[in-house]
Parts: sequence; structure tokens; C-alpha cells
Amino acid sequence: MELFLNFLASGLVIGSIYGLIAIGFAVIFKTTGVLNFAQGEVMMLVAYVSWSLATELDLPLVLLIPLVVVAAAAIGALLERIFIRPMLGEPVFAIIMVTIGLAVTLRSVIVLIWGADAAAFDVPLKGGLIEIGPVVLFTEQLFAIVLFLVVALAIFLFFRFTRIGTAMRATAQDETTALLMGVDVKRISMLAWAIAAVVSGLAGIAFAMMISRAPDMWFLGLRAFPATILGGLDAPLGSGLGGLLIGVIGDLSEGYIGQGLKEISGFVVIIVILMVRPYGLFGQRELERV
Amino acid sequence: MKRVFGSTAIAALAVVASVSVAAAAEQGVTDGEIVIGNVLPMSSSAALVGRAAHFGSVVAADEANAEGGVNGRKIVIKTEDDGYVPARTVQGLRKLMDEGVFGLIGTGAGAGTAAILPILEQEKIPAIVSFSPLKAAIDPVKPTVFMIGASYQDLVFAQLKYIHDKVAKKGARYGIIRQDDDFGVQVEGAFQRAVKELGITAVEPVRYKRGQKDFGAEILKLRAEKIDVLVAGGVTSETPAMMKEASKYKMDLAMATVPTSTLPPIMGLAAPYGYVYYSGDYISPMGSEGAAHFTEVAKASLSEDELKAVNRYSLTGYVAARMMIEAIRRCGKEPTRACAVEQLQSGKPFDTAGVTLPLTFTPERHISATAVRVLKVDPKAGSVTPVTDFAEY
Amino acid sequence: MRTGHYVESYEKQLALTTNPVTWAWTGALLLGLALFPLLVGNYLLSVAITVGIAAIGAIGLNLLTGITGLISLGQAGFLAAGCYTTALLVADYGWPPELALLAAGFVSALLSLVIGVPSLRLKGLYLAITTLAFSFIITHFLLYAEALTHGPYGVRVENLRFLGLDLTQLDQLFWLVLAVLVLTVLAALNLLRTRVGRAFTAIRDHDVAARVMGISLTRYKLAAFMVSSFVVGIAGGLMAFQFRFINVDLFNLLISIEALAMIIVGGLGSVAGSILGAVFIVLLPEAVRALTDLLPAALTEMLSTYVYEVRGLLTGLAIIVMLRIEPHGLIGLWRDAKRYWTHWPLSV
Repeated sequence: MELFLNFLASGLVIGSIYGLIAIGFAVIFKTTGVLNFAQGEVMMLVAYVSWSLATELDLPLVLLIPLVVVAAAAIGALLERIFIRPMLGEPVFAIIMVTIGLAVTLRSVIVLIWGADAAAFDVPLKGGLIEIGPVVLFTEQLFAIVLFLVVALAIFLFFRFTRIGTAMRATAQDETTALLMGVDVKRISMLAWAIAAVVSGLAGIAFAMMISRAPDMWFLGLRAFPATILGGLDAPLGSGLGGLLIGVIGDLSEGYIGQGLKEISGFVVIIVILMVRPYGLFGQRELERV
Repeated sequence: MKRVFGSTAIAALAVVASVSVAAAAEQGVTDGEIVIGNVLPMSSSAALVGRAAHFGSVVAADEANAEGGVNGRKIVIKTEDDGYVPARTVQGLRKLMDEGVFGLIGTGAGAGTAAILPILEQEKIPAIVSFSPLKAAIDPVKPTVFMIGASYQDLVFAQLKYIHDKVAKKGARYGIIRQDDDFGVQVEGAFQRAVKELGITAVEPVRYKRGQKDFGAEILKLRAEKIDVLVAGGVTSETPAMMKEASKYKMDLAMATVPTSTLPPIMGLAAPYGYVYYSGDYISPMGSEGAAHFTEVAKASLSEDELKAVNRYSLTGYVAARMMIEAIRRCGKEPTRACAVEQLQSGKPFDTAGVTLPLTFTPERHISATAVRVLKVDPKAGSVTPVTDFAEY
Repeated sequence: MRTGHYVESYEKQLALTTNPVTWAWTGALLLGLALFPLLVGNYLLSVAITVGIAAIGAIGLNLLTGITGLISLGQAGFLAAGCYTTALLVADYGWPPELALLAAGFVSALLSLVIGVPSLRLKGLYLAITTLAFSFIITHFLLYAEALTHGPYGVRVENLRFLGLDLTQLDQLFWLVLAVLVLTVLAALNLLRTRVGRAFTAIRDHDVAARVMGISLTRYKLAAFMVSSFVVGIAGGLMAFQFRFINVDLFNLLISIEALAMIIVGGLGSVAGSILGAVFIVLLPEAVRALTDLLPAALTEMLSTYVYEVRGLLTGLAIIVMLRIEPHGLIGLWRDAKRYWTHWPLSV
């Protein structure tokens, strides 16, 4: 039992990271219909910028986090303005392709600025041990889980109760009608990118604190991709839960079966689930009319 | 319209004709220059080691050129990036061959080396494998392929033997986490050999996928097996990540690792977790007396920026390039590939400026510098100290 | 100069092209390509081979994604299946390479049924993910089924004689790839002008409407999967000839994304576009590299530690700029250019 709980906790930790990135994927997809292949790279960029902020300014976490949120939002909005906005109205495939180009570009830019070496992300929070019953976690690992819960709640409240959140949902449902109702659709796309950058950026920071900030972090984006499909691409919260599930299933199957199944188990689950629910666990069923 | 075959534009794109210049004397040798090639991971996650190896070979070339070159010719180092992908190692070598290359010293990582072996044999290109030792490169002997350095099997086995003899208590339990590729197979090879020859008690090996960074489940599994010794088979930053998880449960572990664990950034990542671990190497560590000469010439030859990229892998790149240059020098005015190979396997010793003992190859034995020294790494103190002498395993 | 296009019989309607000029151009192009190995060195030749194989793979993917509208992120899986089939049959079972190459297509096509049948209900990105999952499972299998596939050791292929060609010689390998590419192009073009091809397009444009018109979705979706995977499998088989040493590292997710990039950049649903896309994506890093080589020596010296990042940066930007100029892909650019040429001086 003790072992099981520890596997579970370990899976939740990495699952929280996947979940946060998956929320980033879903927010952009839900509002603009674009699958952002550069999500992992945006996450990495935010993590690197935060790392520089943290090491240069030596701020406590309470101040660092708000600063990072602002920086991440700016990064997301800026990327959208420069690379995505000019493509508005073009085929979705072309825009997806632009995000692939953006991904390649960002990867190189990061190494150009920060070099190829991995470095530790040290913040005052790091290094403490917390025991919850038989489960042992580092403070930064617990931080990742807490972060996930807070962000998920914030996203839920945002979309449900704020004016702009409602506007985003409206745009997702019917862009033209939203436009007619006075929603500034262009701003919505920028906002989606900003939110996605903040959410996935926080995941990047949590991950960098746990492992290190390194130029191959972008790969996490691809790992979180299945999570968002599992939860439903158009369901931010569902995608988040999908991340948790993928993390937990991975660690449990590694723990009890082994054979490198950690990576595969999530995919097997996805195939099985999509057979039953072809639109993801929490995705919306599309009604089609001819 | 049905003009489907209108893709004549390809013609324009395809005819990027560049006529290759026929080699006058020997491939890669011109009146003023001799070209030695590298194919290394200069980008990707392995750039940390690939770049270092490249600069090591540049230092060797600069050193030779500063002394007036090799029989009147300058040594030029050309490096192709393979991005840690074996297919691109092949492409990189083809590119070098097209532009003219005499011999090869960087041969990509393990699988990349394996991928280019057929070409090296077919084209009879002298090559000194030094970046990532691979047993298949010299066993069985390939006519023109040489290797410096012990295989990962020997490197890890040496540590396990030391741990078994000197460190671990009787009846200690041994575990391993290794990558699920050719590199991991070699690491596990050492582990299985220890099981057979030392009679250690082993628990089920744990494999992980390349690119994985979180090792919570893996460590938990081994903790449940109550291991005392861990072979941490991470490529680079995976090893500190394993240590982190182990430290969480305050596991008392003796750890064997691969040579990358002595690189400063990796030691930096490992420092907070309080483990003093072992590593093995066939060359003197950076900062030691053996590396002093190299450090000195490197300062003269590289820019400040480039010096930052120098690490242990520069030493092996340096030694390999140095040997290749010396072999060419011994061939006199008109060096040929055949002559260089002849010189390399002549049995006459090659000086490595103290990085290793002088090295020799013979026609039957294309591997050298296989003696391994076990190192004790204290990442907190930033120290790497040898705990055994060089010995064959 | 052609001024208009009039089709006067069904025969003409069915022909690939009615224009002798097109045939002449095509012939000249093929001749030029066949002579290509005589003009260039080994490196450019090996790049050309990569382009050829990528183009075959891209045509295969375009049949599924561009024509039938089923998005696949599993290209790497089908390539791997084909490549390993050929390599293992030649290396371990002593099959002649000719048969082993065909077998690559069939094995890949059979595998596509395994993934196709459960995917029938899925659409869009949800289908993409099952194909992605499939390609992960395939490479996992190849890595762990050591007894069959040599696992992490990889497979080495030797003694490649193919219909009298010595495939260890690059020029002869190039001719083989070229021949397969031509066959693939012809097969794809002909397929698209049959009932099957039109059914594929109908499914892409509106699957419910297609069903109403009497197109069996099950049958045609599976057919699209099989045809596409057959072609991709053949491309994989050719990769075994090209590299002669293969392991699973060759078949990562980036390959699948790159394949998708080829057909998007080239033009979705277009055979010529697939080829253009393959040319673009494979040659782009080469062009960027040639460009950075032209930089003054002092500058490259300064960049020496970062030259690879600069290349990556330029590659990414080139993709973005290309799509900004022509969101419909290279084939769109080509069509625009052609229209301009045909209608000059009245073109705008």
C-alpha cells in the first residue's frame, strides 16, 4: 500500500506538469481551432526567462510568480501578434504549420541566448521534504501538484464567470455570431495565447525546479499532447485531468509491469478510450448536419 | 486542366549541380592542407559533449599548425553536425567525403558509429573512434577503424568490481536503471558480467525511454527491492535526476555511473543531493596533471567562448586528432590513407601529452587506452579523485 | 502557347494529359533526373535520394491526409514497419531485395488495417492521436522484440543487388528511388481519376454526404489507409537500402511531423505538391547551410559555437515566411505563377 501510494504521488507530480501543458494546448485549440505545436517551446522559453529573472533578481517565490505570470502573458501575446495574427483567415493547416516553424525557431533562439548546458533552477522553496503519511515529496514536487490545482480552478472560474471568459467561450462556439455580438475576436486569439503561455510556462518552471532547465525541455510538450487528446482537445479542464491520468498510469505501469511501458501505457489507454468515446473523455460530441 | 505533370519546377530545383573535383593525390590532401573530419552531435541534447569533442580536435590541429604543420601542410578540421541522429551521421560523412577528407576522428554517438562502419570499410577511410566507444567498431577488426578508450562495459564493470571489493557490505543488493538503446545495452552488459563474475545479488534491471527525465517510479521500484548499489545509467542529466529521487527516501546507495557524470554541469546538478558517486575513465580527468598540457594549448588556440565548451570529451577528441596527425606526419611528404593506417597499427607508441599512457595499435588489436581507473566524484566539493590505478578489466 | 482547354471525348477526359508539350517537358525532366548522378558528387546525390524517398512517403501520406482527409501522425510507424520488414527479410532471412521491398509495402498495409479498423469512428485530431499512439507502440515493439528485430542493436543490411543494380553505389540507388518515385506518381495520379479516388475526395469534403451518395465509408476509409500505408511502407523499405544500418532512432515523432509539414508546405491533396514539399523540407536545411557557409570567415569564426542554432533559426523562419507568402503551399505558388505566365500580359 505504501508503495502504491508513492507510485501514485510520483505519477501525480509528473501528471500535473503534463496537465498544465495540456490545458495550454486546449485553451488555444478551443478558442482558435489551432493545434499549437510550439506549446512545449513556449513553455521552455517562459521557463528560461523565469530562470534568468530568478537568478538575476534573487526574488522570493511570492514575488517571482506574479512577475513570471506577467512575463509569460507578454511572451504569449507577442508571439501571437507577430506570428499568428498575420495568418488570420488562412487555412488552419497553414497556421498549424506556422506553429511548427515557430517551434524550430524558438528552440534555436533559446540555445543562442542561454547556451546548451543544463542548469539547476534554484529557488528558496526548493529542497525541503514533506511527508504525508507514507508518501514523501520534495516541496517543489508538492508545489507542482498545488500549482496544477490552483491553475485548474482559476481556469474554471475564468471561463465560467468572467465577461472575457464568456466571450472566449462564445467565440469558440460560433465566431461570426460572437463577432456580431461585439466580441473582439482578434483580441480573443491573443488572449488565448497569453493564457496558454502562462499556464504551460508555470509547468515549465515547476519542471525546471524539479529536474533542471535544459534545452531539451520542449519535448515535454509532445509528451503532454496525448493528455490533451485523452481529455478532449476542446476541454481545458478535461485536458488537465488527462495529464494527471497519463502521469499516474505511466508510473503505475512502470511500477507494476515495467518493460519500458511507462511511455506506452498512456497511448494504449488512449486507443481504448477513443474507441468508446471518439471525442475524448470530456470533449464535446459534435452534432453533424448535412 | 489536366496538366498534372507540370512539376517541371523540380528540374530547376534539382539541377543544383556541383561537379566534384577529382582528387589529385589522396582524398583530403592538397598542396597546402590535409583535412581531418568529425561527424558529431553539435546540436541536440548531446551538443554538450559533441561540441567539446570538436574543440578538442581543433586544439590538436592548431597545436600542430603552430609548429609549422605536418611536413609543410596545414591540418584543417571539418566538423559536420549529426544532431544525435544516426542517419545524419551517414549524411555528414558523405558530405565530408565529397569535400575531400583524409581521415575521421569524430564518428557520431554509438548508433551513428555503427551506421557509418560499412562506408568506412567500403571506402577504406582511416578512423579513430573516440567519442563514444563501441565494441562493434573493432571487434572483429575492421582494416581502417581504430578505437581509443574502454567500452562502457569495462568502464562500468570496473566500478562495480571496486564497489564489490572495497565498498559494499556482504550480501549487498545491486540494481540498475538503464536507457533502452544500444548505449543502455552496453551498460547492462557490465551489470550482467558483474552478476556472473562477482556473484553479486542483482534485482530486475529497469529500463527507461530515451528523453525521459522523471525517475520517481523507477527509484521507488528499486527501493522496494532494497538495493544497496545502483548503476545509474543516465546519459547526462538523467543521473542527477535519479539521485534526487533516491535522496528523497534517504536511500543509502553506492552508485556507479558513466563518464558524463564528471562533467561540471552534471556535477552541479547532482551536488544538492549529497551523494558521492563513482565513475570510471580511461583518461586523466580535466584539471588533473595529465590534462595540464592540453589546458595550456587550448588557452592559446580557443576563444573565451569556446573554452567554456571544453570538457572531458575535448580530451578524447584531442588525443584522437593528435594520433591521426602523428600518423600522417610519420608518412612523410606524400601521405596516403594506406600509409596512415600502416603507421597507426605499427605498434610504435603514440604520445598523448600525458592524457593517457602512450598508446599503441597492432594489426590484430585496433583498440587502445582500455585501462580503466575508477574515480570517486564528490559533486559538492567539485572534486574527481582516482581511487584505483589504471587496470585492464 | 496554349490558350484554352477543350475536352472533346471521354478518352481525352481520362487521359493524364492531352498536351504533347507536357509530355515533352516530362520526358526532358525525367531524362535530366536520370543523368543527375553523373553531374554531382556523392553528398548531393545522397541528399537527392533522401528527397526522393521523402517524396514517395509524402505522396503516400497525402493520399490519406490530403485526399481522404484522415490526418495521420503515424508516418514514422509505417515507415518503421516497412524499413524493418525489408531490412530483416534481407539480413536475416536471405530474401532477395526486390521481394523484400514489396513485402515492406504489404506488411505496412496489413498493419494499417490494425489501426484503421478501430479508427473508423474517429475524425480529425482524434484520429491523428491514434495513429500517433500506433507509431509509438510500433517503435516500442521494434525495440523490445529483440529476438525478431535485434532490438537496440539495430539491423545491418548487406549485399544489396536489385534487378542487377548494386545498391551500395549511390548512383544506382538513386535510379531505383527515381524509378519507384515515377511509378508512385503514376499510380497516385491514376488512382485519383478513378471511382476510388473520387470517393476518397468525397469523404474528405463531407463524409455524411458521401455516404448518402452510396460510398461505403468503412470500405473506402480502410482502402485509403491501406493504399497510403503501402506507399509509405515502400518508402520505408527504400530507407533500409539507403542507410544499410537501421535502428529505431530513425523513426521518431519528428519524422511524422516533418512528413505532415511536407504535404502542408507543398499543398494538401496534390501529388506534385507532395514532391515540392519534400524537396523544400529536405533541401531547406541544406540551403540554409550553404548560405551560412557563404558568410565571411570572420563572422563564421565568431559564430563557431552557434552556427547550428543560427541554421535552425533560419530554417524555422523560412517555413514561417513561406506560409505567410503562400498559405496554400508551394503548389499554390506554382499555380499562381503558371496562371500569370499563361495570361500575360492580361494577368494581374
